[in-house]
Amino acid sequence: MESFILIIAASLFFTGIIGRVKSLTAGRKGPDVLQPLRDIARNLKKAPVYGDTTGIIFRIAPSIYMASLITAALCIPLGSRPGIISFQWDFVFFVYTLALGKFFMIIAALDTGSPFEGMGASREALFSLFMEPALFMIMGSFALLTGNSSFAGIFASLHGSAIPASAAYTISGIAAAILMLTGMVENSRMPVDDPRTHLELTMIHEVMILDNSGFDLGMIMYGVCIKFSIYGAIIANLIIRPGTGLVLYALLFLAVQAGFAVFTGIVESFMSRFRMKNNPQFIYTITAATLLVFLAVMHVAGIRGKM
Amino acid sequence: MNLILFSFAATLCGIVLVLILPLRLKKNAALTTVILSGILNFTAAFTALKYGSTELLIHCSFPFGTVPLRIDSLAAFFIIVINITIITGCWYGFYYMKMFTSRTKDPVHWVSFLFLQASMTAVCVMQNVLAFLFCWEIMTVACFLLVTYEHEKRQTLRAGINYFIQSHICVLLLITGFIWVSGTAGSMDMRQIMEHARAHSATISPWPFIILFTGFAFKAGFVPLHTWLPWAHPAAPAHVSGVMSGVIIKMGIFGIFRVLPLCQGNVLAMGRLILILSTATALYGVMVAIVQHNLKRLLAYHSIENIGIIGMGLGLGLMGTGMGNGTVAMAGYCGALLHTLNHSLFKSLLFYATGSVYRKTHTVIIEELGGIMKYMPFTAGLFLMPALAITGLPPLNGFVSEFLIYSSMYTGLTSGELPVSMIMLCCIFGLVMVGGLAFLCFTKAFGIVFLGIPRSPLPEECSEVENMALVPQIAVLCLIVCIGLFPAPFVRLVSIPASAIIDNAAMAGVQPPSTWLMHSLSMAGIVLLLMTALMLSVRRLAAGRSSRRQPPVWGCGYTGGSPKIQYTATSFVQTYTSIASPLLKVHSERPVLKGMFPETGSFHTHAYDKVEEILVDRNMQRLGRLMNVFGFLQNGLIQYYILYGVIFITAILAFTFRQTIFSFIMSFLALG
Repeated sequence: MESFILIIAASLFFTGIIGRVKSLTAGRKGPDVLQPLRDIARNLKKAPVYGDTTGIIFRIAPSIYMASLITAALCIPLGSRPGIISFQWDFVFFVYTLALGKFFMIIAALDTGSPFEGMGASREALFSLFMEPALFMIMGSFALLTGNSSFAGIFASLHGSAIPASAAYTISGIAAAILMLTGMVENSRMPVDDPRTHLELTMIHEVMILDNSGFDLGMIMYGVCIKFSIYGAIIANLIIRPGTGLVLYALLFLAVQAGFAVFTGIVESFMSRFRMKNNPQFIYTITAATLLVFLAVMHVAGIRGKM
Repeated sequence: MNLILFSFAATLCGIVLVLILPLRLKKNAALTTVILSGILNFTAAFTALKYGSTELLIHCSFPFGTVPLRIDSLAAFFIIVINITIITGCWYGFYYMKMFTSRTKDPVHWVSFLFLQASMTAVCVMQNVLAFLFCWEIMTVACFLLVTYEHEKRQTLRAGINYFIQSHICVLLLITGFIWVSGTAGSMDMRQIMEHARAHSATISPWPFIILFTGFAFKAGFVPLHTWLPWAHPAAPAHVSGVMSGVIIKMGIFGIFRVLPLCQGNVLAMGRLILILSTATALYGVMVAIVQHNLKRLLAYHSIENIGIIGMGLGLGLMGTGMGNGTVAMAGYCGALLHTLNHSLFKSLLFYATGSVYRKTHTVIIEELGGIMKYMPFTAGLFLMPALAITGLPPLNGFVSEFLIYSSMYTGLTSGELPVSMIMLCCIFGLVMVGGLAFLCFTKAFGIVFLGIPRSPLPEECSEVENMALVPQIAVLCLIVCIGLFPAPFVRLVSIPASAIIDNAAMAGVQPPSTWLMHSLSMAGIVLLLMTALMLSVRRLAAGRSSRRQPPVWGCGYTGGSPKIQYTATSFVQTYTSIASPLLKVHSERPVLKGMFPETGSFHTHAYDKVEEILVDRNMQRLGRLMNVFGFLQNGLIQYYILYGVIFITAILAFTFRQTIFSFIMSFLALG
């Protein structure tokens, strides 16, 4: 429960911080941190307009997307405090729940019959295919390292006495770095997709939602925020020691989230988007890098005489 | 046990009835019989599951000897799986067959259907090797007759004969394997054969198991023995494809489970082999599925993928047994068996929905369809839900069985030794990729066929199928949702045969997957469902006053809504195709555009199975070339043919009396 509240809290500021960092690095005055929230709120007040070729799937998809994100957020623990949904191998459920939302967004884009949205749908489906194994591999490696099987169990025992702190921090550091990149790809941010672009041909996520409007668009925009903070929460869990008190933990948690947002903002300010052709290679490289985590775990487990 | 005999008797009466009744009543008789004997089979199977296995000995004369009929837990489970899909298939077929105006072929069709039900149930219970093969053969022939319903089409007949030949290679391997094992054990009773194998576990040869596995793998469609499957499925009528993909190929899985006790000695190595083979099967199946243009062919390749997933569970079970890790074995076997049930449900439903589309649009070519959901909303829903289930998304049943297989692999990963961990990691990666590829494939299949706008003019009468045809489909859907939301009883059901298999392997005290875990899964699924309901109602409340205005969708200068600029199935997976091109065989023809205002051109792509090309087609060509060498013999002149006959007879005579001739010549020479 604590983790869910904190994820929601972090999600309120996440994209605001990214925007702020981008404006600061560009030397602009820029909008304040709450501007994205105002945009979302304005959209939520509006009634949606639906195109003439769209059907029922297009109308229900944003709601299912939002529901899948919230359910996924419920799986995330806060240190040793388990999430509301917590069982053995719950990360399998977590990933597949996120996939459910994505499935509906993709078919909703195809529901419009618009060429551009089909294009975005095609790219989103392909990239998520390449991205999917990353979390499975990372969590599998941690399960091997800690001997635990759920999010909560793994995060609780990762920084325990059984594993030397240097090893735990090295491995979780690599994993956190990979997860940051994963989070950025999943949210269609800079090196893969440019959320600020105005040319449909170069978009991925934005082009899928061209025809969404009003309440639906508001939900999708908020979905980006909450997805970012879900990934930020996993990263925070990897890095912060679970023994700390709740208040301190919460502060550290928010600090990690802010750090992730700043990192995303800086990357967006100083990098240009890759050619669309190179994106699959980049994404697959991230996925392949999860093997590093596995090798490191093998090394540590070997030292501990487990193998 | 007697119930099974009653059900066979009912089927026999049904067959007679179908033959004597007037044409219009034949299908009613068939449906009634199928449902009646299905109910009898269910009762027998559930009784066996509840009170332990039952048996009945039938004393036949030569060559069968004593034929034991036994319903053990494995047979009972498969009887349930088979009869669910057979009943829904027959029920759906009852309406599907309306699209064929000619009734003359109906008697053969329905009689074959009844034979199919009886023979499949018989395969499950027959425990005499010879009787088993006998029923297996009846099943194959019945299935062949069902597939070639539209035999006036050349394509269908070819597919049917392809199936027939490959099925008989399968039978050949089965005969070889069974003769071997029954010769070693000195008995035709399967139970005695298995007990013999267990008693001599150290010395038994692995080859009979490998031969039998290969034989059953033909039926199940493991790569590279799958090549008959993508031809036969599209050729058959939709309800037959559903039954074939749902249960007939599962008979291969049943066979493998049945002969599993023969696998003794280095079980771990065998499990590893099966696991790797199955992962490759799953990956190859789905990779080829994505580039298909024919919806039924796409689904057929997905059957191969799902057989791969079932095989993964089977391999994990064997590995767990080899490692002495009961949790891995139990979760693996349970996953495999539950996925068998799940796949029979969602795949048959996918075929039924496709059949409904075919009935109304007369095509299953994905590129020609589009926007069907506006005309057939229920059929679209009945395609979408199993599509979500086959992709393994919660809260539907595909997720539960894949979750069990994941949990088996993760348990193996964390508790095994280094080589085992490495293999598990690779296979986890494989299964995730399979999930991702299925995701891509079904967003394509559903999105292109049912959404957007029609890509070619649809027939005018394109509308929803009659309500009664929806009923069997909705029944299947209910089961899918039920297993997804409340997996605990179903997992308990599959854990009975699973623990029987493990007990046979002498590993006592293995617990089935914990009920608590299954309850957590169902809770998570319910949370997901509730959250969706909440979001939908919030949206309804907040945005209820949605604008009446329906502007055209965004098309960047062009207005959208023209099929000419809409994304097609080929363009949807174009990037994937170019990435995966080394492993696929996609032939494309591009037009050459000339001049400033080029003429209209057309663009074709055609996907072919690379494994089939390398393994089947090339070898057939080689065989053909070899046979061509002897082509001069067949010159069409009758004199020559008589000459061949004379030469042949002379040769035979010479061979028979070779010693007489030899001694004659010797004596002649000596005289000379």
